Amino acid sequence: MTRYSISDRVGALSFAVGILAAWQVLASVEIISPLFFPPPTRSLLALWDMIVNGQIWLPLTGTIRRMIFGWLAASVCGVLLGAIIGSSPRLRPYLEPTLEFLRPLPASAIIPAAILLLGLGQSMAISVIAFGSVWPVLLASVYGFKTRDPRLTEVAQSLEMSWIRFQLKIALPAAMPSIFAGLRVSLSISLILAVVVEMQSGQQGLGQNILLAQRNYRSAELYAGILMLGMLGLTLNSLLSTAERRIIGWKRNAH
Amino acid sequence: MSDQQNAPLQAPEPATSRPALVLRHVSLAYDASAAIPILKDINLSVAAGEFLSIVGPSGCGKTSLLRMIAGHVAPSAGDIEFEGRKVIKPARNRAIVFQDYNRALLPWRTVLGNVELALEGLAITKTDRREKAHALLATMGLAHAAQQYPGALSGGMQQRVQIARCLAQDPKMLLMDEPFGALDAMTRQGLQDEVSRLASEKKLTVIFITHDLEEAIYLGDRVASMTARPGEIADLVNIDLARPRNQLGTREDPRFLAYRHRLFNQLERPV
Amino acid sequence: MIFMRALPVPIAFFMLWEISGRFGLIPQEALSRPSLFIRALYYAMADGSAFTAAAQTLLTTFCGLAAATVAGILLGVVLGSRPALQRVIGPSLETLRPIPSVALIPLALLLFGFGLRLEIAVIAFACVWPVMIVTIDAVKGIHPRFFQVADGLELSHAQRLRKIILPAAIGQIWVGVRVATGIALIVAVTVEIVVNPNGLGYAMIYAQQMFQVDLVYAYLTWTCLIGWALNWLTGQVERRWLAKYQMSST
Repeated sequence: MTRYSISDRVGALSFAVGILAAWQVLASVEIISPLFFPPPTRSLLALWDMIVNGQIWLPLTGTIRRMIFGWLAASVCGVLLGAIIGSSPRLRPYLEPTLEFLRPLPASAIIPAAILLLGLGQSMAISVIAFGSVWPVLLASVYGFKTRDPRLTEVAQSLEMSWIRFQLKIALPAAMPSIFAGLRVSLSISLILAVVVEMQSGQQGLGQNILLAQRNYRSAELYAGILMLGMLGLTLNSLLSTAERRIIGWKRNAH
Repeated sequence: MSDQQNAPLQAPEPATSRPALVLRHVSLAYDASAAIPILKDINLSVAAGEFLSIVGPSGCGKTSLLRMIAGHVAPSAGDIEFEGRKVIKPARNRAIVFQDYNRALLPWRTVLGNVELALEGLAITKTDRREKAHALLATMGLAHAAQQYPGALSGGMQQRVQIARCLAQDPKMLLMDEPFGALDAMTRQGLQDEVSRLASEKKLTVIFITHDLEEAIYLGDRVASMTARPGEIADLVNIDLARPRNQLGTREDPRFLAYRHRLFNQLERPV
Repeated sequence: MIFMRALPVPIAFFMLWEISGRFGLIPQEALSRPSLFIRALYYAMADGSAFTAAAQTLLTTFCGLAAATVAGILLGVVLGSRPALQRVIGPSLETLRPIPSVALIPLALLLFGFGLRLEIAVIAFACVWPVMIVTIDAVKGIHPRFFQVADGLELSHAQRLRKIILPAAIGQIWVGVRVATGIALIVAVTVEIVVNPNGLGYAMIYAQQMFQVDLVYAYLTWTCLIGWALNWLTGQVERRWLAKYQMSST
């Protein structure tokens, strides 16, 4: 991680502003096509409009609801299954190769089959999102439970801990750093799949918004939508980071 | 069999009460076909409240022996009895202090939380649990570190946290596997005296493994010296030194030096 | 053998699927069954359409990956060897990075229309980040001694890049490329499903829209196999060719 001094910040900011200003000018005098690259101010205005007259809320909440439900379902399943598979040296050789084989499968490839099964509605959307998001969490969870220090098991045995207490007080916390790494990846995947599903099935959402904007050649709205998605991604990521710091803050102090 | 002895090979068994720990013909091997077992025909009888030091070169099986007494490993032959009952799995009353203290503490819990771990699941209220944990930390001189995480502590303090947690188990026997091996000399000496004091205060039976001969003699009521490949008890020496012991006086006592001399020759013999 | 224990679960799964299908326990118009979709895959392979689709997808994948690798390495080398530049440009790049590549599909559609360029552009955007990031890291990690050697030999920038920087950094860079390869295929198939009439994704969505259930699952299986093969291939390259370039173990 690079550390930024004040002069760095000024420099970085100037650079960003400079690029935007150049874009603004070039698009305004039509050296670059304002249809394909609308001046930044127009996109920002479009975004502002959408916020002010409330048009943004339905799509925004639509996307968020879809991805959060899918992500939560995936996270719970992923952690549970990962706990079972990771903790069981007997089960692992039977299941891990299959998991490894399925890992490179593009999650979006499941969409056509999902549409056949579940139609074009919310259940299809959440199923696809959940299915695609489960892999990073599952694999990270398996890893976290698998690589637990055996010494901790011995400590638990010495204390004559019950199985449930052991899972909750030792196995799960020990796997948390791994699990969080998986959750971060799966959160990004949830967002991506939510957008894809919206584009594919016409459901209300930010993804659908952008696609419609493109169809109607409303490029300012298109850029505004992209900006909105980027900000959504950033916000969700930082929320997760905050949660991570609260829950596994101890890791930073370890030497 | 030793060649330079005038003293008996085995110290006289404690006559009065039933021994706390008995090992009869205990052997351990990786598998039945192994040519040389890890441990061969170990026989031991430890009285309640006794402090037994076990000393020996690396690879002589002393850690395996301790783990068998704790119940983490089953012997290939023979049996182990604690308080009259056969040892088959780990139990709270046989607390084991591991050498790698950093792996035995939960890094995500504070020092207090780690000690409380041993008290959770018992039929006591949360407040009582907290008080007990605080009291134990005070005993080990860790009161000021209660809210810190193990990762931020020095090695000596981490080991003390582990000991505190083991004491929270309210054990009858304390098993210590080279607990001070990774610490510097000064910390080690301080902890030696603390363990000694706690053991006599709480009337614990202690089995203490070390490769440091002087530490073994300094702490023990008896010292067992082991040879390697196969691991066997070569000598069992009664340590007749006054308690409480102290780092300067005891170590200069001529009897201390005599014990040291005797056991040193044991250990230096080629395997 | 490890191999033997990998098989029972998938085999049981497929047998269960097949049997439920034959007994009418699952809706055939939604779920097909192994015997049917394997046969459909066979026919698709026999008439070449499976291979055409695969070739199309792999073509865009490789082109996008190549573009991303070149751009990523160049950016990475420049930013990695000039920390001041990285501090100025870096934050702006960082704001672009979290944008999901799929969000750019409509933009790419606007700019390029349907076709290969659309797909390659989106893939390249998605893949440039992992390559750039590992390259920056790798370049920063090159011991200054190597640069001093380059100065002593009075090498030009291009020579410096080719003879010193790349070989020293290639092990790490490859890890990024490997990650990017996985991403590339996923993005390619996604773009094909959403908008682009090209390749494996399109074959699947087209089959779905035509209610050719068996074909959907046939292509799903086929895509899975291709993905796995690609992953395996990159692993092989790593093992065979790059071992000698690795300065430290990855």
